[in-house]
Amino acid sequence: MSPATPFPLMRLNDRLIGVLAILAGLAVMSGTFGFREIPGQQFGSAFFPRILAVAMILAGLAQIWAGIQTGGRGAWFALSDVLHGRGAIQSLCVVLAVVGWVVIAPMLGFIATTALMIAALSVVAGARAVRALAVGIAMSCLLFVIFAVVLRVPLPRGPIEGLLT
Amino acid sequence: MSVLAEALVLVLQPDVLVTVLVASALGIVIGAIPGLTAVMGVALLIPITFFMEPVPAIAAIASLAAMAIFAGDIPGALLRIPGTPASAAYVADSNAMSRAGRPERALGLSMASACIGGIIGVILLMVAAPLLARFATNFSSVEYFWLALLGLSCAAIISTGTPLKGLLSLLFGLWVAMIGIDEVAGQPRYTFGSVELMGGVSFIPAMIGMFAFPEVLRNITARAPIQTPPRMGPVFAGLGRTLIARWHNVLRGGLSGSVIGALPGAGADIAAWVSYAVAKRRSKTPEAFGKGHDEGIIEAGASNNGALSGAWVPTLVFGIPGDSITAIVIGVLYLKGLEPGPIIFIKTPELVYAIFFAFLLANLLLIPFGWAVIRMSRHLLRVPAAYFVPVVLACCIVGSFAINNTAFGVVTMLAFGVVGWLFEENGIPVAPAILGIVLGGMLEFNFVTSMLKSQGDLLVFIERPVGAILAVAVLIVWATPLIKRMRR
Amino acid sequence: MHFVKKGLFAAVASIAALAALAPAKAEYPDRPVTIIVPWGAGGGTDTIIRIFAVGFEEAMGQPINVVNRTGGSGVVGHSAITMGQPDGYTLGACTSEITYFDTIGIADITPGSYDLISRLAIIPAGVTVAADSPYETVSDVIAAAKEGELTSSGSGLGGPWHMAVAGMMKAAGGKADTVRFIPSKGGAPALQDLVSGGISMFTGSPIEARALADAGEVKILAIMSDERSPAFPDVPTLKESGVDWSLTNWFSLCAPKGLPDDVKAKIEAAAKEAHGSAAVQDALAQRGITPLFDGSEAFSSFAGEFSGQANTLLTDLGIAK
Repeated sequence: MSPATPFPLMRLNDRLIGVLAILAGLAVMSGTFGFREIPGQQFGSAFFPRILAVAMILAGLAQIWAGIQTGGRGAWFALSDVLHGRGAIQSLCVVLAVVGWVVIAPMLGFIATTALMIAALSVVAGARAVRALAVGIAMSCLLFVIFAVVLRVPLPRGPIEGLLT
Repeated sequence: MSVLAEALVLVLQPDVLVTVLVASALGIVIGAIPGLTAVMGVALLIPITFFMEPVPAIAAIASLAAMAIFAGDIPGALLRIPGTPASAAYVADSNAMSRAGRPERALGLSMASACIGGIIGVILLMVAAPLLARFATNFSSVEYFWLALLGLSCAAIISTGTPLKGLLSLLFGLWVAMIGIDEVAGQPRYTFGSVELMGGVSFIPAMIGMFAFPEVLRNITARAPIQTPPRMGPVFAGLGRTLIARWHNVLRGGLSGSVIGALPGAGADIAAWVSYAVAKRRSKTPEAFGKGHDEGIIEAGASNNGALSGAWVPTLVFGIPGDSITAIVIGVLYLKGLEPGPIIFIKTPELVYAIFFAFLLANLLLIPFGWAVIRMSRHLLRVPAAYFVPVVLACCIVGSFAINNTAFGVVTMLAFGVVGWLFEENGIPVAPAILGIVLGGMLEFNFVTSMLKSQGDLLVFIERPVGAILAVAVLIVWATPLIKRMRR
Repeated sequence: MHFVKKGLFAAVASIAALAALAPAKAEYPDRPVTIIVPWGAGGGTDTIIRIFAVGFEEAMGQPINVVNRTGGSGVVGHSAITMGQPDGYTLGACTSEITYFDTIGIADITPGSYDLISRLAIIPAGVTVAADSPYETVSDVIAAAKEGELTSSGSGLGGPWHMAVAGMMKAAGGKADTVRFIPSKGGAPALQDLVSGGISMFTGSPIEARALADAGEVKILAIMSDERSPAFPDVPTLKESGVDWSLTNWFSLCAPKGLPDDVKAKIEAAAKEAHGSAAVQDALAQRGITPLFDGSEAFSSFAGEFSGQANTLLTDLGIAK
């Protein structure tokens, strides 16, 4: 196991992982029946995914077996009590920040959106508001210069970017 | 010898030297920002090289790539976010070393082995390019299939966690690689009607998500007071002694990396994983791997930079790109009137040697630049997580966006971030999934086209000698854990 | 917070510099123009567009951003072009794929989905075999193909180089699918497979095969253009061998459907000027690419013709939906 796991949110039993793998294998398999066959081509789009699906199912069975071997009885999965704590809210904020960026950036432009996102997350993580905003503005401008100006990446444009170029 | 002197003069022009310095600095920045890779850096550099002379243009690309591949180890060691899939092979080791209070050692080893590996690659490129290229052209789809399978097998077996969970992770990655338009029959698969998904899942946003996202969450929710960052010792202390003691790792990594890199389509990623696996197999202390051990870092670190140089072999000799960076380079070569092919060695040998010297220069520059950036990264560790982590997230967003210039990359990053988080939570390693996404297309494509060629005869996979040898290697990789299990 | 201050200073300084450089507002074009390339950086289409963009930038008097939107055999980038605003600030590099995306049923994109500006360059198909292959002329290859099991490669299934071999066999009196086509991800991997003995011929462009031909690893037997190419004066055309077939792949400048007429006229004029400049012509010729500028009208009728031809061949091959 990796030495530094994130805080526990949902830990699945080994057997459940196996079951999920088998379900995934079945889903991958069922998806292949919708693929069109090309006449004259023996091995088409469905060929490899089917092999993969079988491998998933077999690996899932082995995983269930391994779970039973290591005495993996007990609960199928365990939800952590962190779900009710501050960490959960902070994690949710990270997810929302990324979703918010995708939604807002096309309107506000790269610089404003990124600055706001950095500032808001910093505050959520316990930083002081003024300083957080300063860091946000500085870093978003720096990223804009590196990417949009030097490397010509077409970052989302808004009123601020419109003024600049 | 006059050709060499002429070449040296070409490289030692002030404009070339300035270009190399600037490109190196840019490479460091690009590599060190989580989510920006060497390939992306080179792609972004192309429009700028359009206005340059051939030698500085190529020198800029070579030095940017070399720096970026090394700098990819920096976020790997400090934040456990590998900069490139090639760094993912030993991220567990270098991060564990940092956590144990020796970040300068982890990065110093990366830097030195990258430099030596790169130089081995360049030397091989200079003396054996035509020979190596000849060897590489023996690889047909059958051999590539086995090579991809070998790289994937190493990742699944060697990574942290049980091999079975590694396999599950790998299978997940392979499935993700199938999303999009199938390269064999041109049919959309698992796209759920989305045009964006028809292009497939780009591995860079996926990798940033799976590695960086759990780290961002971990750091932002850190309830315990942030541990005081370790003091960084002198970078070079004890470095020479370690490298001398581990000379066989350096040499083996550099050589095997260069050879794997010379195979078209097999780049630094496969090279790093195979070398890491070899190091672990040949080590006296395989149990220490993944916990901050140096052998894997050295061998795989030398290997991925060696592969970078090796990739230029088929590119220059046959015009067949060795990896995704040289695929971009070919376009530049043509533009500069340097049509790749054996003629280039006869027509303009001074230019070819100038390119080699530029390479050598770029790899030598790794030491001063690497040292400076390692010293600077010390300041990074002092910034409180509350300010630092949101900025890392912003970098991840830009990186995911820039790969295809679309916000869809950012969505991809988020989705894979959640998956990566669940994986880590349950002891499923994420690295095999990443390599599965990177190599899945190559695996399937070469498998299916081989079957098409042989019209379904499976013997095609072991008929040719190189294919048979690679098949045996794959068998050994998989048989080892099974045999160990049975003995128990 | 030392580094933050430094960063802030750098950012403010560069923004101030940028603001000072900002051009005065004027009529179209008054801001940078983006060209979407549906293929990867450094590839054929990308190179042609970037060469062209250098001249185009001058003719338009605005910076041109070339943006790669890759993936899905070109579907992603081509559909991104159709979804752009038809205001002249988003242009695209359409390739021959637009004529058959709809035919093979992966996207409802046709030449009619765009305002076509002009073709910019063409490259002909050819027949290339490995150096140790028993065939010395293209007639040998065709004869062997008719009886034996030959394979060919060069592009994806249904791609231009697949149509090249299918059309050749049809014109030579065989069936479109006489030669089994092994899909590949482009010219370079197909050539690699040819040299390693995986396939019997390469029907992509001789330009892609030139380096290997110089190395003595492959033989270029024919070129599928109407006349011999100045880049390969010794390579006969298919027509000289009595097979009435030619196929050239093409690269074009296009825009989202619905450009205002004056904007379209301005783009076409600027594109023509840029394309005709010595710098662009020389750079394309050096790459072995034939420059071509046929303008909006001629290109539109050509695209319709090509579409019909592709449709017939793909139906013969059983790939059409």
